[in-house]
Amino acid sequence: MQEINIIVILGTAAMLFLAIGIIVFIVVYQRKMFAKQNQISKIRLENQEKLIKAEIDTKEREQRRIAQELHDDIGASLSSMRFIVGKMDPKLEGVKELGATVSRSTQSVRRISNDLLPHVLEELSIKEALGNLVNNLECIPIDFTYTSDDNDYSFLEKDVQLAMFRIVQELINNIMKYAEAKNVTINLSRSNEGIMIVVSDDGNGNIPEQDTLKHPRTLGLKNIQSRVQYIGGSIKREKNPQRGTKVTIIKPLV
Amino acid sequence: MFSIIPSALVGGIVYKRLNRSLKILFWFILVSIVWDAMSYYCYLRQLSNMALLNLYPLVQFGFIALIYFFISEKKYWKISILIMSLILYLFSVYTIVIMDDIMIFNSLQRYVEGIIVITICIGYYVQILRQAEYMYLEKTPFFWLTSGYLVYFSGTLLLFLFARLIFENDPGGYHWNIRQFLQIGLNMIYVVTFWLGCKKLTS
Repeated sequence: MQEINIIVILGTAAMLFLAIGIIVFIVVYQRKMFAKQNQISKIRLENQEKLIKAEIDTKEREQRRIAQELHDDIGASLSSMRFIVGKMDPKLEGVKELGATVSRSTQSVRRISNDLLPHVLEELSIKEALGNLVNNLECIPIDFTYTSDDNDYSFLEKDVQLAMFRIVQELINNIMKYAEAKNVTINLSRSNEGIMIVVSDDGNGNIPEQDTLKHPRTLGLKNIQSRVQYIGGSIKREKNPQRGTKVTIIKPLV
Repeated sequence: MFSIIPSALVGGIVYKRLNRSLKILFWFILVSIVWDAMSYYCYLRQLSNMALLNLYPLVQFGFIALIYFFISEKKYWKISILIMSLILYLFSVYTIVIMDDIMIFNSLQRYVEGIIVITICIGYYVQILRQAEYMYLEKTPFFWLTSGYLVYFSGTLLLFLFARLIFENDPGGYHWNIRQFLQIGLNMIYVVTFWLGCKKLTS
């Protein structure tokens, strides 16, 4: 009986010690693993952000290069051509048509160049650039209204302003392509939350919220999301119960 | 016997906020109280309560298996619990009906139950380690419950294995104090489990 007593007491103590050891090990190991997993997620997120930034920077650099080429090279050639046409005798056959074609081409080149690189944004800020963007849409049969508050936005970094501008550009493109809207309003303001851009329309609300088989990567939604991530902001899309969609982009101020 | 009352009270108060597995735990505690009361009644009337003692592990394991069956997310682990339950019940029937008598303390059945519950506890730990869902495990009710079961069944494993010898030589000895002590600890863990179970879990 004595032996059994010893076996039971020692064995029970050993088993309890083992059980408590397992529990402590689980707690410590889980905490370490969780911390490691968090670190991996953080690194992954950072890498993703770096990739997006690199992708957007490359794209913007290429667009800037094309815009400059268009402006400096083709733009200059068209100006020379217009000058030459201006010196030609207007009574000659086709000179008038040639002049008009050259003017149209010059305007097109300017417009494309401006779309690729908004010069107003280079010189002023997002506030004026959005106004300019809306002014350039006069020929489109949609009534665009742009409002902004009295704040100055030039303190924002240029690449952030450019990203915000591109987001609005993509949203307007989507509205023109899919929404069948008659009125579009764009509002830029600054609040406690940060800088807020609201684009709302009275369209059919049929803009897909994500790339689908029907619209595979054609909506620029990926671009919008990448740019929102790039500026560290958020995007919210709300459908009006009757008609239209309201998109709110918020760029928090650090 | 009375140490289980606080856990039943806490479980009853927060019952509506408990999930399915913790509700099963609450019912298990109520059944345990009734079982203990019946055992005590038999003892007072000087009747043998051995049949109740031998049947209790089957009821106890049934509830524990149900709790872990519902909290396990992996299908293979659910099937493993079912297979282990089947093994224990077949083994119990064999030991009670064929090998022994229901009026003799069935130590082997308790021993096998202990080993299976310890296996289930370790399996649960493996699952939570793989999921790595919570940084602070001590804030999760099932971690406490599992730890309680692991300690209780590890501590009573050898006691039950040698139970017959102990019964024969030292029926009122200190060995059963160890079990009582572990039981009180487990009952306190039930209170913690219910308390944490009624809160919303966050990582």
